[in-house]
Amino acid sequence: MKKYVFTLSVILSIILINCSSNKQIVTNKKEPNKEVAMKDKPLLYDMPEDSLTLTAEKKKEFIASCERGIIIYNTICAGCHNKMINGIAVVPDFSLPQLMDYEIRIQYPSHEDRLKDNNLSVQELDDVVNYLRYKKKSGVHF
Amino acid sequence: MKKRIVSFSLSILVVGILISFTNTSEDKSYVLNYKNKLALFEQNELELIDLINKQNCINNIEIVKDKILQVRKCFKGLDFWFRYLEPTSQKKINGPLPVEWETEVFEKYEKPYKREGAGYTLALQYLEEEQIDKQVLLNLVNKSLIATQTYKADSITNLLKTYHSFYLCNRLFLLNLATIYTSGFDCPTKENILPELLNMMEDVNSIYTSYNSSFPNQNLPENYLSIYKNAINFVANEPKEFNQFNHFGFIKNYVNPLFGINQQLINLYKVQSKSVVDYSLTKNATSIFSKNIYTGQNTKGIYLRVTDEKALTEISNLGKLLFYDPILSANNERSCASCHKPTEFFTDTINKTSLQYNRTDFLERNTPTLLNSPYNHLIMADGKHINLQSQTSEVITNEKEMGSTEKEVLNKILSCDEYKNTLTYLLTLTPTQKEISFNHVISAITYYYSQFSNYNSPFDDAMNNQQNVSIEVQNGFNVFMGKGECGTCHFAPQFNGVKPPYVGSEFEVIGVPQTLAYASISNDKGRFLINPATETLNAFRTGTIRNAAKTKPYMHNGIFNTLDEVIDFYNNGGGAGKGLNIPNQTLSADSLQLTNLEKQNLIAFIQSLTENIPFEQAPKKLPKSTKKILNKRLVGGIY
Repeated sequence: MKKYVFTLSVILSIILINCSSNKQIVTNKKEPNKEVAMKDKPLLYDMPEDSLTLTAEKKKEFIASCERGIIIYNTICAGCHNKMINGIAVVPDFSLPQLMDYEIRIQYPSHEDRLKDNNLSVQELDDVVNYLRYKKKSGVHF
Repeated sequence: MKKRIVSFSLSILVVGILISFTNTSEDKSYVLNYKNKLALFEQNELELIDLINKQNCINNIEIVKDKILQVRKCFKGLDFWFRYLEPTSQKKINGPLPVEWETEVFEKYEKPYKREGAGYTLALQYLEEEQIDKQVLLNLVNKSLIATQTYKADSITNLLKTYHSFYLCNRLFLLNLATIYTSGFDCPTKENILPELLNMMEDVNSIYTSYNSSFPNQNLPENYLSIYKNAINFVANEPKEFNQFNHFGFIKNYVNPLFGINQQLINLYKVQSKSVVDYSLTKNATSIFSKNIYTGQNTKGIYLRVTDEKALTEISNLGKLLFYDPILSANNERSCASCHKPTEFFTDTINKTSLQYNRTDFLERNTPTLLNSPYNHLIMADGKHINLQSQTSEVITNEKEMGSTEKEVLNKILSCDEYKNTLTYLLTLTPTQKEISFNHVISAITYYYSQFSNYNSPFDDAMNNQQNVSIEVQNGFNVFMGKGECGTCHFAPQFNGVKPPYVGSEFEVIGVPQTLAYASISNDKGRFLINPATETLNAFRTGTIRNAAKTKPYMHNGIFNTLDEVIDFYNNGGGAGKGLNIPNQTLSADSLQLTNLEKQNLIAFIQSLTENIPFEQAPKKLPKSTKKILNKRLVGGIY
């Protein structure tokens, strides 16, 4: 009987520890500007011009890139870039010249630390640009 | 009386207007200084072209050479701005090589591109040839003249209207004082290095004066100016002979303190950059000899935005286990530590090149140390990889090294509960990833071993005034930067091929032989395998000198076993100096004529670059797998 109690208490404590570490994770993930970050995840994109010729595989890759782009955008961009319209955070539309390549990292002082390549990889920058370029237009200009 | 009052009040009005006008108008001294220097430079360039044109053939080389030196003097007074404001055009004015293949950090995921050099380093070099063709010389000068026009553009001169670019130009200038201006990198005639240096420093002093007049609110303070003036006096009072110049004292007592103050001012005045020149440089480094002076690789890989200490410790612990775990190889017998032995400065000091996976053949290249690899923009001797993670991935999947596949490795790792639990936790730190991937594995490895690159050497401590180094070390550094010409390719502070502003990695052809008999150059084509071009055949990325005393054998094929052999190789002019036919060798084939004492001092300097690294013990055991066969594997593998 004692054995059972012991194992039960061990299992319970493991579960409790797990729960507490999960809590920690949640706090880790919390970004200072999470409230401003948009909640609606657009599932549709205006696919690139050559989308008709894209293979199913490529389309999947493209959507996966945009999905990663949303998450990264919310983590490091949304805090400054989202616009509050009637109390709702909206991702603005960026013009093509605004969606530059690596130049985007250095053209704006506010990007200096945030967009350094040890905070945003080349692949991730591509993902964010893909997302912002092909997301459904919100009609709100940046 | 009325007239008097009217004229009096009118004159007061005029004076008032004049005063207010002078108050509101900007002080243009700084921009004017730039424009005057530029005009003088262009005028001298035109005079040089005229001089060359007037000669039927170049029979009086000395006159032409004198004029080139005069043009260079004007140019050096502008290089403070040129190198920062428009580095591409600067290469047309004083490029060190006719052709350079660039792979700068911000574009390294694209193909390398060709940049042509022209101007007054190549022109001076050309005058050394036996036959001088007037047209070749004119071509070099004309290209420079065209490039000079770039610097008149509004896009450039507008940058001089704010204080921001000044401090960034100055930062690059100071870094170049510690690396290229004092080593002869951009001046092929040794006797002109110090006179040019002194002139340039005086010209920059005039830049400082005009800047302070134009920007009194963001001025260079008195403590900076006084150290700078002492630096000029130091150069003026040094022996005229270049080989006698005290590089150690110059950098330690003047250049590095000036750099420290400039960094403080960059932060104080909230200087902002909009230039790719500043892509890698950081604002928080207080010394040229700080490991954080520039950002090289993203060592955290997929975990790049993780900053929580506890989480980083988890990643590091996982990385350590994986580093020693032969589970990464197909036969479960080889680990990272098999070749990158932590007890041997993360390299293999015994074998020239390591054993292949098949246990019979040997690899083609020497195992490089992992120490300081994060300070390269391109990884491997041929620069094949643009990041550490892809290099790790290739070793694991390469049939000659670990012979596995990404999928197989991941499956085996996930069969171990300890690994699975940690990776499940780490997945929560990478919100863009839906499942545990191979990238989670290799990123932990690169993060783990890269932490050993954060340590300083006694030489750094000496430069940072934290301890002294012997006179032999100081003299060795002076040989390194001076007579030995090592500093023309190995740039401070990493003493690798990454030169200020630290945005690219350089490759050199030095003619390492296939065997010690010097019958032929090594048949490894080097950079050519990645970027085929005449200039890249047998070219290899310039490695770091740090920890070299502990990381034998040397060169891409491990041909030399001691530092003496390496120094002798350079002293004899590399492969070409030994009679091999290497038309694209970038190392001079002439002997350096180093004395035994100079060689010994060089070695003392190299030894002072051995870093104080706290090496760790290997883990005692590896995580248990649910597959019994995997539990036979040994820590570190068996070969």
